[in-house]
Amino acid sequence: MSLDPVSKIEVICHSGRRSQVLSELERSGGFHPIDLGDEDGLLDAPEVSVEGLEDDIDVLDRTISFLEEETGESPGGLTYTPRSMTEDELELLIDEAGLLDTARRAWRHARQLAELDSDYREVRQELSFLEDWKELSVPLEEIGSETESHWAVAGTVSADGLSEIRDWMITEPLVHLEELSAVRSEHRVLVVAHRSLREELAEQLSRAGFSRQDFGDRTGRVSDLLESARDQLWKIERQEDALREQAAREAAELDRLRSLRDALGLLHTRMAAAASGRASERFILLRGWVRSRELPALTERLEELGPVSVSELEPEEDETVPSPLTEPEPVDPYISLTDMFGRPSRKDLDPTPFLAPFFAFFLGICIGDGGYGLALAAGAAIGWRIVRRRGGNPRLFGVLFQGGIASMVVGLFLGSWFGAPQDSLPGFLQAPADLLNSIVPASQDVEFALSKQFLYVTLGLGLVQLTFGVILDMAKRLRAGEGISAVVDQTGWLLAIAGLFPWLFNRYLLGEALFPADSATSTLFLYLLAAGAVLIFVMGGREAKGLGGRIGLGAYAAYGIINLLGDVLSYSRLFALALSSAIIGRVVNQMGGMLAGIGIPVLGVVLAVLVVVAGHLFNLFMAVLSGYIHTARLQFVEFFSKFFDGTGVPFVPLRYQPRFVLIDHEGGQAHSTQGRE
Amino acid sequence: MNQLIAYMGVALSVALAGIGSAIGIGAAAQASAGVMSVDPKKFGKLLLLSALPGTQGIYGFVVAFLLLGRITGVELDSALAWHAFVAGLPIALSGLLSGIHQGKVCAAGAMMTAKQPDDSAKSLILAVFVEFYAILGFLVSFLMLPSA
Repeated sequence: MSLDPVSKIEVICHSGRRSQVLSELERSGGFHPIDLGDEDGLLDAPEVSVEGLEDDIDVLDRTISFLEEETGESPGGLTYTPRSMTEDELELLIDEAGLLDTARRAWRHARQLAELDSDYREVRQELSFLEDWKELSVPLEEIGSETESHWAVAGTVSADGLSEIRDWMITEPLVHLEELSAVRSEHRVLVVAHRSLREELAEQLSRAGFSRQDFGDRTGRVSDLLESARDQLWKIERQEDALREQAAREAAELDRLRSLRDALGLLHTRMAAAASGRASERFILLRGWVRSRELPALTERLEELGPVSVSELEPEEDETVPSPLTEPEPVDPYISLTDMFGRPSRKDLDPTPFLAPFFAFFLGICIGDGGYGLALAAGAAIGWRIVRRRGGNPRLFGVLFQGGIASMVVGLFLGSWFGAPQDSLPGFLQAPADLLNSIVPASQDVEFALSKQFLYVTLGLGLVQLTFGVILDMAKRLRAGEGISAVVDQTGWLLAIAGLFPWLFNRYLLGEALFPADSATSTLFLYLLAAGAVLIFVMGGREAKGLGGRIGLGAYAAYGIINLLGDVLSYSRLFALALSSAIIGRVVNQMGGMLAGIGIPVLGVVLAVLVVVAGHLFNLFMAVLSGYIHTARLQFVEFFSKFFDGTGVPFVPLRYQPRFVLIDHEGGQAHSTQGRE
Repeated sequence: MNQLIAYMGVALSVALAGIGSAIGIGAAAQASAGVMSVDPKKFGKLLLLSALPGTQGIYGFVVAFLLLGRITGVELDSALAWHAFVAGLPIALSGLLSGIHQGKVCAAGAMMTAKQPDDSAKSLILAVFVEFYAILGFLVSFLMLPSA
């Protein structure tokens, strides 16, 4: 369980065996390569170039996206299962020269289509512009230029500006105005005047707010240009059609192209690993980390390949050792949460088994409804199966499944099933809730789920987790050889917790229901708190220099008791989330009941069912989303801060994660992240 | 008049917290839409970030619902009416402001998701730091509810 011991190994083999050794290491899924870079005293850097391969993979990725877009066919859907292929079958695809050519050709067509698309948009824009001026019959090269006799200009003007120009024209017979078209209050006009009036006309047009149209380097009549643009569009459309037909033919190879993508990806992973080692003309050398317990089996498999030397090396003093985790099946899904915060270093405790039960239980409380728990567990089980069938990582679904189960248990004791009133539930579902209500009588005659007592229980659960965190820190420090100082230090915290919280809960939350404030028990708790505070103060300041430093550091450490109080209060969110999901569930049912009772036969019931189903689905989604994130925060901020640093380095084994196929290694390690990294 | 005061507490708790959520979701969803315009495949991750500031509105709604249960069909004197009004304020105000600010954190998270998709869960964790203050407001409103 947990943080696996690792061994540093060196693999040396003849360069002719490189491919087989790399295949075996990749297939084992348990070799974390070390990049030897420019390390002195070793062989040369290997002459391995993956650039060409990367280019081919890039072309394949783009081609596959293009063909999927063209055909609307992408791998997905609930029933989709990737094809299983052996390594030999994948290698055959690499050797098939025509397939990569098909990909390159399809990619060329994709680029041509993109260019045509761009041309198409440009011509459409030109067409739209020319449509606006289609009434203009004068060749465009004459617009804006001065001839021996006249000057012509085209542009747009408002209705008011147009009237102004017309008024002026009454006194100027050598000016002609032609209204071409009008859109709302904007008029497109052509104005022609005798050249002697050019300056006067320009001034008048400016006063009228005339906006001159620049036709650029266009020549000829607008009608001819329109015809030419339509012709261009038609040609582009035909070219695009032809290319799409070709793409449709190339898409017949889509499935094989996807397989080729994974074949090249696998090859690339192995070649990149070779590049991380060193080589001479005859030998190659690789170094890496393996789980110590897997070393004998791996050595045996490598030596079966021929003369391959596998030797164990002593890690260097300042070397960063990766942290592989192996957990029992129920705990394994929570590795994703540990990774979200950070891997344990070799000196850390692995927090995964410790956070797992708390996380599932707290998520269950946040959802707080047995019916929702059932739906979540069922949905997560389906999701888990689908992702696992595709060779993906189903850890999230594992966490949700356990959260769903926990929510069923919580719902059972809260008497909450799809927000239905407790007294409407069957007897066997009411019994656990009645039992809880009889043990912890709810105040104000409300059921436990809506009572302040439930809030206090969540605070109590927080206290339990935080105390556990303090104990784990003691264990971690004892393991690190800190001895008595670890015990004394953490005893201070345990005493403070044991003294402060019972006293505080009894006095301020339970109204002295457990013991009177002036009783000996109350005094005992205060003494425990004082003893804890003194220990924390002394131990917190012991490493500082000088009396002032010791007092300062000690006081700062003792101030941590206040932070502890804040940490416990943070667990109140569990109650808040449970309460809100319970109330929303009831509101949804009430809305459904109102709709069913409005007196419209059939339709009323249909609407009620729709509202109830959609409402509960929404509430479940929000409850799971909020519950998951808030519970994760409680682990990371409140729990982990007591004992866990998370500064370790992940164990990243040499292993290709296929995108489209399942690689069948014929007895080797399956290519899936399930239960292992 | 007493009824009006009490119902104002109900209205404020749901309206202000709802406004906070609406503004927060708006900010997060705008940023998410920008990211999705470049990479539509990130929809799943961005949906979570966009939905997160919606919880303040839900807390406001829950308090409003509970308050309604305590004041409907009850003879309200002035003290009880003001009690109901003030009980709605903690979630109303904390929901309003935390919803807006959580939306900003989620919008920044959407940008982070664009560049570091594997770290999107971390931006969710950052966003719940802001939400905690709405939770405290919700709890205080709950604890202040008039007796049934």
